[in-house]
Amino acid sequence: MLEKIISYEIKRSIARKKVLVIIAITVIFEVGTYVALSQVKSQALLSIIQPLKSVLWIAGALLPQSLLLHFIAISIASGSLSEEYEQGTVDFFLTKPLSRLSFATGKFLGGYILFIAVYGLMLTISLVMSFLLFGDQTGLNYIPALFFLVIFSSLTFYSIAYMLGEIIRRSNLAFLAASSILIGSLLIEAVLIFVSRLTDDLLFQQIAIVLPSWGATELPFLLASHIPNASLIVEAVEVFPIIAGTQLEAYLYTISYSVSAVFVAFFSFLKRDIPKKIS
Amino acid sequence: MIEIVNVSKRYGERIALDSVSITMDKPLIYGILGPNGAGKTTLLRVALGLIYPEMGEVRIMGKSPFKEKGIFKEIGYVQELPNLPPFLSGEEVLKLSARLKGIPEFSVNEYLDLVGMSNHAKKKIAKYSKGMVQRIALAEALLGDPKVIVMDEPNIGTDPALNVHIRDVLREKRKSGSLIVMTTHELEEVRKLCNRVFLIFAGRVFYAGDPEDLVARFLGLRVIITSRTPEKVIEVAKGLGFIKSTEIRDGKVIVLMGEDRREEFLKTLIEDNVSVIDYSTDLSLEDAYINALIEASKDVRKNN
Repeated sequence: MLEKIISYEIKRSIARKKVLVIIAITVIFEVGTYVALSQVKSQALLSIIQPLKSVLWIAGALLPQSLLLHFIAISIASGSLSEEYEQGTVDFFLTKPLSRLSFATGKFLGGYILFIAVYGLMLTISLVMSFLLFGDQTGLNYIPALFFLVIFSSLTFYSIAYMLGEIIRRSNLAFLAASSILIGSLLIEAVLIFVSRLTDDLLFQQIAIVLPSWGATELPFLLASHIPNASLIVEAVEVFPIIAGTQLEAYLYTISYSVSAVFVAFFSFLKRDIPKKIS
Repeated sequence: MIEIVNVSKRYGERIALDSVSITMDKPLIYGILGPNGAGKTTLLRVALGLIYPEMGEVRIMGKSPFKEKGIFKEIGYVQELPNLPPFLSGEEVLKLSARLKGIPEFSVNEYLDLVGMSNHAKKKIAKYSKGMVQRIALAEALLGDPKVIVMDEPNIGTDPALNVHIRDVLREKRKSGSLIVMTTHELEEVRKLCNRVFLIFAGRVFYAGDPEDLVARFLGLRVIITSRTPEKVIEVAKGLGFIKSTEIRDGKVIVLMGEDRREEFLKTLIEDNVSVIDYSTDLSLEDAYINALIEASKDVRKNN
């Protein structure tokens, strides 16, 4: 039964204009990045890019990780349940031999599989473009681990948006609320790091690590910094300043935020009444 | 087949259902009547396991719709102004429903035919008119020949031809042993279709019985007589104790009886040599319904 809801959710998400726009942005973003890099004429910039040519696939793989990918996750997850309430289609499913738990699980997994596919598309484009425009690439053995960490770390905001979609039951409000948490958390993180560097007090950095944005944005960078010759690219594509945390901490906080959000969302969906169409 | 026992539900301070108990145990067509906000839809949604009651219990074919979801294989449901996934076609909606109910997908064609939607099956729901959505929703509810069909205001936004079609389909389903329950504001629909009605007011069941009894209890039986001597009809009628009122309207005598004693009344008119050209009965369900609501509201005020 779960697979029927998963395939329905993937089909539903693709049918939404919002998701189609996201996919279009993804393609433009990835292709544009590489075309821009290949068109650099300045000698100063060329002297930086030249030694990095063999690992430029990392740029396309990690650039969306700081912000775009989380917005994509939020966009998919915030509408997952809330749009069913808004369209009044929850009744259709819950008056079938299907438990609320199966429905909520199918919706969560369906959206997440679509998200993985979108990131898969991004990674594929970055590999194809870097090969086409910059020749052979190295460090490709890191791809599976990096792919896993990117999709795993995105669970934090995917789960938070899914939870807010269920609690608020309005897709636009849920999207706004989840995006605000992401942006707010990133800004607070940046301020805390700035204060920490200013005061030489590590306590501010430790607080920053606990914020939901840290594990979500940092985890793949912690791995990518170990790829030979890639440290400069990693620094360049990381929009927000690096905090010296461990991969274990990043795993721990990602799991904590994701599990808590999913638990609240499922508890709410299982225990609350299903209203008539919310308009 | 549907048992609702002592069910109560509140929305904040407002009581939506107040110890409602209803039993629908025969394969008949049941109508749930009541003004807006009376609790009809809440009652259906509790019965379908969509809304949790604060108190009480619901059983469909002996099983709880909250715990035993397998029972939904035997339930068809038509929402008020049905909401179906707009990006799917009518055929895809039926196929999805068939997959969820564990019914072979090829059977959907039969149901598309039944509701006259075979030619529009490939169109997206978003492109359908209200009537077309209603037809698909009906086909979806009938899929797999469920033993219980629940319909919330099935006549909203439908044209008379579709209403006749829905009525015919439902009568067929009742004959083949399905129990049908519908909420409606259309009293004409109730009169033509329902075998039993439940009148709900302020979250309470105020009346349960057949539609004719509702008329007899809250209005009485209205007899319309065409006569060459209407004054004489009135004179005879006034001498009978069971006649509540008489009036002449458009040359016809309208006699209101407190109880169904039509035969006795006609016999008296003939014995007294009163001219009777035409004699008909008008079961004014609408008037009875209004009277019933007035009594219900008095009752609620008294109890409060």
